[in-house]
Amino acid sequence: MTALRTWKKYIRRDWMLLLIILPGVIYFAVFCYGPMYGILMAFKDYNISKGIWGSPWVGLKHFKELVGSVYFGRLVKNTFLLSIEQLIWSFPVPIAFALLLNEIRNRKFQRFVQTAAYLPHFVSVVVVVGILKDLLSSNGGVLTQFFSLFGVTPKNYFNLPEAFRPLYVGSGVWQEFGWNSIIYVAAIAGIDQQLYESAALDGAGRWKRLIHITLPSIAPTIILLLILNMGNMLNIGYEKVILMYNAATYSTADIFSTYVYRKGLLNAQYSFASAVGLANSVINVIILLGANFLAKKTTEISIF
Amino acid sequence: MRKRFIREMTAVSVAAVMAVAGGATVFAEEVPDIEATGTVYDLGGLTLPICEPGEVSLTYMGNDTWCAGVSYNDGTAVQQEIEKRTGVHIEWDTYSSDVETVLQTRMASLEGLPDMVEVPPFDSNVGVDTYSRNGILIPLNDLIAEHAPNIQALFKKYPALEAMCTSSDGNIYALAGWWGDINDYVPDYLYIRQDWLDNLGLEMPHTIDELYDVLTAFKEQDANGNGDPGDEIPLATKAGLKNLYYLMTGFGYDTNSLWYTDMEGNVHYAAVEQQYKDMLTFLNKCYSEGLISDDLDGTLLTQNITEDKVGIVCHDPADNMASSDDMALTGNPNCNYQFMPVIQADENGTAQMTKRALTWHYYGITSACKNPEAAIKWIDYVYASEDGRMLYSYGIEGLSYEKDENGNITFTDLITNNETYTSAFSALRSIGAWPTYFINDSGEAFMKIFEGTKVEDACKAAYGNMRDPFPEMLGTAEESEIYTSMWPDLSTYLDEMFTAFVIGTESLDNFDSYVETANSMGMQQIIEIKGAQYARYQEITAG
Repeated sequence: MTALRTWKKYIRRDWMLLLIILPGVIYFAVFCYGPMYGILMAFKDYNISKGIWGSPWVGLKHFKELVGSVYFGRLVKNTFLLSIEQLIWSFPVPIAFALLLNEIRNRKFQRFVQTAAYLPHFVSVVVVVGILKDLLSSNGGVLTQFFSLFGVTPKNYFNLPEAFRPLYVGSGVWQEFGWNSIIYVAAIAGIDQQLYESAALDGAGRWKRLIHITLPSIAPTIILLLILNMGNMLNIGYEKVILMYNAATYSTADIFSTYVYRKGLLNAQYSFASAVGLANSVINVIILLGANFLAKKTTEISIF
Repeated sequence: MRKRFIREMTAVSVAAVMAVAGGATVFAEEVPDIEATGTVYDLGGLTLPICEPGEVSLTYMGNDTWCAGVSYNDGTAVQQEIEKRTGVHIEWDTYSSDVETVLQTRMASLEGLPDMVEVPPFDSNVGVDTYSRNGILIPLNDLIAEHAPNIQALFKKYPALEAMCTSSDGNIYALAGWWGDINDYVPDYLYIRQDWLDNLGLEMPHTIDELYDVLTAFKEQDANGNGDPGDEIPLATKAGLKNLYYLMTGFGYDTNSLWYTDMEGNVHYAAVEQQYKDMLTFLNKCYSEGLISDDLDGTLLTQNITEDKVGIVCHDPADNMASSDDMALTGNPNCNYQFMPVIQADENGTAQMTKRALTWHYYGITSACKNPEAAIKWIDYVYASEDGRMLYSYGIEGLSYEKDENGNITFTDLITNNETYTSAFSALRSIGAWPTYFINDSGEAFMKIFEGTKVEDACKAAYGNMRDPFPEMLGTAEESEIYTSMWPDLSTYLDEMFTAFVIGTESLDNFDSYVETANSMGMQQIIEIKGAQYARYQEITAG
């Protein structure tokens, strides 16, 4: 009784806020929760005319097929290594960039740098990879010619398995660091200016202010984004990898999503593709929960 | 902008047709039912119109025109003419990118199924198995027997086509896009810079040893004459290093096809045979000496051609020789690519090149189609009837071609001197000819487009001197199951090892263990499947 009354009271009081959040709720219900029953496909031999419910159950057949593939070990290794390297490099760079940006005094110059830095985000990944291949071509590529000044024999870096991850991660950092820094720039803008003033009065230099005011102030943002990024860790899209890899670099470049692309989508094996997708999501959830737990224990900041 | 251009061209065409109406009406009177633009050709027993104008409307889903910026949705001239002659209105649900994904999603969810469909995944026939077993593609046998005289005639002319359309249960669920006609004419092999050979005083290579000498000369000397002896790439591939298996003709194989049959009709896969090792050894030597481009997936090929760097292009059809010339001409006005003869093991070699694959796209009618009779009649018209094929290959009389009193056809300026679409193919595609649906490309029309060029010479030299390609048959349920679970991993392994052997990251001493691994991954089972399919192919083509 009373619970109901309190609910009513809350709704009457916060109806505007609830209205604002409604589109988000509908979005997640329709596009995220709604399709979830499709997970069933992973445990069935999906037959289109029978639909998801009518298709026969096959238990873990598709998971066994995945684990049974001779490439399973390599796929796990490549997917994890690529994800981890990507996180290690692409996560701190935007933070450092935002901090540096904050130290630029000239407003106009600051804005120019910021805009210039996030422009690459809008360049199609096809174009980025094209530029990269061009720069690194063994036959007349600008970077290759530059390296040869230092006595490096020209070679095609896209054919070296050991060069794949650095190229992938490096170009990704270049393309996204400006864009990803926006949220930190916003967080920094929200810091109370009085903190800086009083620190300056106490004799703190710019470095001290950065370490003792700016960083701690945006730490919650950093940790939240870190947790969220970890939850997305294995969701590496296949597009860029497919553009960058070739048969000589499969040994480091072939990851789950490219494997599913070749095997599942190109051969219309829907159930198999769902099984891999599900396995991927389960691992992601485990990583997310783990990261959240650790963050809660150590810093008392967490997403839930 | 382009849309308006096409609309204007259509208006021009109507005017042009009125001007030349004298010759055209004579034919049109014989078939009074059709209100046609230009000559009406043989309908092969089909009666037109199929229905009263606009009475039947069908949806088609698949690729859009292969001409950038032009969509069937814009009312391309040829499609409008087809509608005028057949009375059937087509709603084009066509896309120029990501078609496969969109189609697969729709077909998997049974939502918004079109009446006629290009069966995904393209470049493969597994979709025909999947979607026919699921009841989405309806059997066409009875429809064809009752309503499609031209398709019947086409099957009679090309038993291989009927074989490739026939599923393992004996039914026909999809019609194969048919390249059997055009591929009799168009060779796909290697072409070489004749001007480089002339610059260095070399002869056209015929054997594998001569080829090696030419490659070395291209590498070591300044073949393009720009003063830099180091910028030449002697041999590059169109779609990646694995294309280099084309050189197998120089190593005792009769033809350049990985799948082949011997005298007894046994099916073989070349890449796991001892002979193949000799080719790999040769390629490895060439690669280590810098004779083969290290652009392993071929992405830089066009750029390198444009920069006047590529001596030989491997695995490209003859018509692309002309476009390669156009690209390189900007850098070097002397550029002259010539099609190469088949590379032999020695002077007495008799290896022949293989024709391009007969099909790699399939088209069907879905269970959502309310009027399959009209659909099959429409397909019969556009895919197999002479009248429909004239529109298909040449476009519209008066707009894209003229016909003199002897029946000789010449393309108009719109096709040969188009400012926007410089190649005749794109110009034809921009008005809706050479479509992407129910493909049945005409070799004669192809030769017409390239009349008087070296492409024509190359085609004439190849005509009648090429082997039939290995047939791609539709699998049984069991075969498809084995194939789809084993082949993706296996083909990854084969590609990877081919590359590793050639670029030298894997020693050729390990060739035997490579064959063993391939067998353990199911190579022999795949060969068995192909063998069974080949047997079915022979049965159908013989009967």
